[in-house]
Amino acid sequence: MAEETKEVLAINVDYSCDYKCENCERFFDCEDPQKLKVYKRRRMGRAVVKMGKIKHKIAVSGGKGGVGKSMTATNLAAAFALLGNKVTILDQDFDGSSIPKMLGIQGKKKLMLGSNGIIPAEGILGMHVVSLGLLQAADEVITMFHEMRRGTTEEFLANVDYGERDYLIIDLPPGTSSDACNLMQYVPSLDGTVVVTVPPVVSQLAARRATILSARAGVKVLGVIENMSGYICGECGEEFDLMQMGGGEKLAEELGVPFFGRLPLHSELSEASDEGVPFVVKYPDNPASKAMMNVARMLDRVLSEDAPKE
Amino acid sequence: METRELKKLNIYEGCSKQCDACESFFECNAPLKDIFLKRGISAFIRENMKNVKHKVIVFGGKGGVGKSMLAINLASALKKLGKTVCILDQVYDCPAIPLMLGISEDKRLMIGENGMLPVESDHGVKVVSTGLILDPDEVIVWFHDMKKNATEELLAGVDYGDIDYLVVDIPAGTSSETVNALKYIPDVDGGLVITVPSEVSQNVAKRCIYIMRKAKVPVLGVVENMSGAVCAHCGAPVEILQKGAGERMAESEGIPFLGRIPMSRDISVSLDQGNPFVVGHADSDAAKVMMHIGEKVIEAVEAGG
Repeated sequence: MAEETKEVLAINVDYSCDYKCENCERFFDCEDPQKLKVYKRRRMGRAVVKMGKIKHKIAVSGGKGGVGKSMTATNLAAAFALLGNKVTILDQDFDGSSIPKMLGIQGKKKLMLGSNGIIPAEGILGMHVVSLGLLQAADEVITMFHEMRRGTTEEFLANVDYGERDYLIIDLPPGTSSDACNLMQYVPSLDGTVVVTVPPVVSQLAARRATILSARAGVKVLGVIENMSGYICGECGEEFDLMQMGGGEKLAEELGVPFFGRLPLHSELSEASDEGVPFVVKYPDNPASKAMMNVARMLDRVLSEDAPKE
Repeated sequence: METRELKKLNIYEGCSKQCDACESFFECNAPLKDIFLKRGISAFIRENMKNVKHKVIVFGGKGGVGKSMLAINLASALKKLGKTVCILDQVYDCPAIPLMLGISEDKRLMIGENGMLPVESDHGVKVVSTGLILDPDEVIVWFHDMKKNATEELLAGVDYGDIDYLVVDIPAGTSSETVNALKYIPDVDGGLVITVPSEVSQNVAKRCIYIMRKAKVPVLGVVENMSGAVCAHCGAPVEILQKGAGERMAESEGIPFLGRIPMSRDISVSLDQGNPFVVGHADSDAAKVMMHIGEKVIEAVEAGG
């Protein structure tokens, strides 16, 4: 006898509204005016003040892991710094922070506490870094669930002595839940996100979701970068592809946002990351460095045009 | 200005006696924890999974290192070695397992008399995934409680039946999903850690080993993915992401190194097409390495039992 079956339509995990907006999964879908109060009170009011002298704030997101978000954040920041900007990197990846290692300050520099809050560590080109990795022991594992993550995000937004900066580059971990939401909920006047993806079709599943989430949160997608797009052989200098190309460009087209270009794979790139020097600094002639400098110039232009005239 | 070093962020809370929501579960020795493990949902899960012989979790810590790729190919390798296998996809924000196994979009998770019924792929691997429930454009925003509930549902509410292996795929990070899997899946036989060759990636991969040790789950071995390739033009071997840091990490942590999987266009295409390479490219080097990993897993898991 065949068993009678029905389709599973949803997993039975939903809660009803308890007016704890700070903890709500549906914050962006909700139209209750109550939620706006979150911005005005407690630490969030302080974040507005502390971050008041940062001209532009850009989040690097991707949805998927290992697509090169931290690599992009580090090098985009360095590219902005090379163009003469004052830049701070905020590492929102708590479980697996790699920015300190990529900038060569892991285990060497610490976060200090001064009279105006946490003082960011300084890396090359005068870049400032705020990262949980700077507080972590070498063998310490971070297990933080939503509330502690939110607490950490709030601390890093409201209790850091940012000072006067031209750019704040924020590195997000993979996923579309806790960290992505905390950030988009709490960063005052975020200019937008740069979405990093890799060529295969299956990777666009996650990148699409990250952009849909941005749209729901009312955060602009500034553009898409396709990373690991082709490989340049160190022996013969020819380019070939290791993954099917073009997924990033197609995604940008579908979303109607600018496509910032392709970053080819090259052994110099990961070598630079391991050594703790951004590749735009170490190998300025690499095609990926040129592409990244281009992205920075494009963003510089777009954001200064968009800036409100006083 | 006078400054001092920042030692910790001021975000820790005291014990709320709610073990299910506790970040320090594995470090805690309070007797309360035993009560939590014996009653309620944990007991249901144990009962529901009693006919699942072995449970193996695929860890990565870092994103995009090939966890899902390893999960589907390990499952397919175990299947080829004559085992019955089910994959549990614990990635909620973006489940990719159904696509990678070529399960058509109209196949959905159904519910029968004894709970949800896993969907079977063309290669005979069963799958439980929220990807079989969601629409492709549906964005999941779940914080810890919802993720925990989903894990509980998928462990206690699925009709697994009699199977030899449950392969669990978990997302990047070491928090919610990782802790939930380690906390709620009873008698995990072991975990595999997959990493990529660059030094900076080991930072994160190592933390998976540490958390498994904390949770007292055996580490079966380390797999190094994206380990070199061959130039399509001149045939020269190329090391895209440096060399060998995965193996060095395994050595320094005293864990077996199970092998390296090269980066290749064939593998990437096989994932997009939903055709695991141990089946579709059975003669490739990558498939041979994967079969070897399958054999090693069986050896390690079944010798102990």
